[in-house]
Amino acid sequence: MAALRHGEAYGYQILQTLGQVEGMAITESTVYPILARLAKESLVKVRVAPSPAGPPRRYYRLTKLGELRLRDMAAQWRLTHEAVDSLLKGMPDE
Amino acid sequence: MSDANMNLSTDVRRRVEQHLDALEQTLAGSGMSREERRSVADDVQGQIVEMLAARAPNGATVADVEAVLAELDPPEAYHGDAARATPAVAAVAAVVPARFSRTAIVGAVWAGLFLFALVAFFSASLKVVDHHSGDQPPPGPSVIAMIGIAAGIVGLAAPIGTTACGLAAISQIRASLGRLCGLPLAVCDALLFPLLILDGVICWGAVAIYETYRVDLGQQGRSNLAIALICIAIVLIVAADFLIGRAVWRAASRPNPQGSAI
Repeated sequence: MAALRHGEAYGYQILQTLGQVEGMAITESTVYPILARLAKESLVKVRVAPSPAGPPRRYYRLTKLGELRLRDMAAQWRLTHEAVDSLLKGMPDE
Repeated sequence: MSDANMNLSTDVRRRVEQHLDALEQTLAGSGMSREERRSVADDVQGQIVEMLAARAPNGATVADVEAVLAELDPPEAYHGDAARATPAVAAVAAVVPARFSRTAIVGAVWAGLFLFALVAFFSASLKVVDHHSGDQPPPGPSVIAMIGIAAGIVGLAAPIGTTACGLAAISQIRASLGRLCGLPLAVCDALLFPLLILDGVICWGAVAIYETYRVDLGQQGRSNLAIALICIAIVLIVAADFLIGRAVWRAASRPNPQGSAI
């Protein structure tokens, strides 16, 4: 969902965006089912548009509900991140 | 899936379709809806075609397709995406706030309506008795009375509705892998009326035993028999409810390896 916060993107494009993020080694068998479920839960909206490469592309865009959910998740993630960081404080790097 | 725009040879297209068919079968086996399966298959198809276009701009061969498919996850990888998520993805999924199961809440509210229906029923019975004994005319139908009757009718279906909602909620919560919470309420919904029926049967058995043997007993003997049967019935009810409740709770809260998650 965070990969969609700047605008719409199609499945493979999202996959490539995520692939460029270090530590986010994530494949299509994880991303596409999640996109389908987000669409089912109305957290993203799908727009089908022609593609120069082949079959029509499915462009995903966050809905208002999706933006709210992303904000909630981001806040939760920051809390978890800070909590784990405080637990790991002083621990030597391997 | 649409092949209308795919500029691929028949052999290449056939191999791609084979892969997509296997993928759809796996997704169907994992309980995904048809709409979601179609969405996933379309995304995978789009990716394959783009990868083929990048790899062989002048026309892909079957060898190119095999090379592209080798870079992709096999269809089996789509069975339970959460199980194969990377640690980062699993961590994100872990902090998604869980939503309380609406089905479990509906079941609980439905059970409450049953109580309302009982109260309304007894209240109406008392009014009928009052009417027969008194000289006031019966009150005419009012909006509140009509709403009460409607709620009462819905409430009387609660033994089936609440149990069904409870079972559905347990199933949904188990499949959600943490996205839905409220398992205790769902188990209560599922068990409430079946256990009440069982308790009723035990009480009925105790009364039947008492009625069978009381004629042969004196006053003291009847009291002793009644006390003994009440104690036995209470012990049986508590034991049966506890054992069944614990067994169902253990089964419902067992980890679900086939579940799906975000």
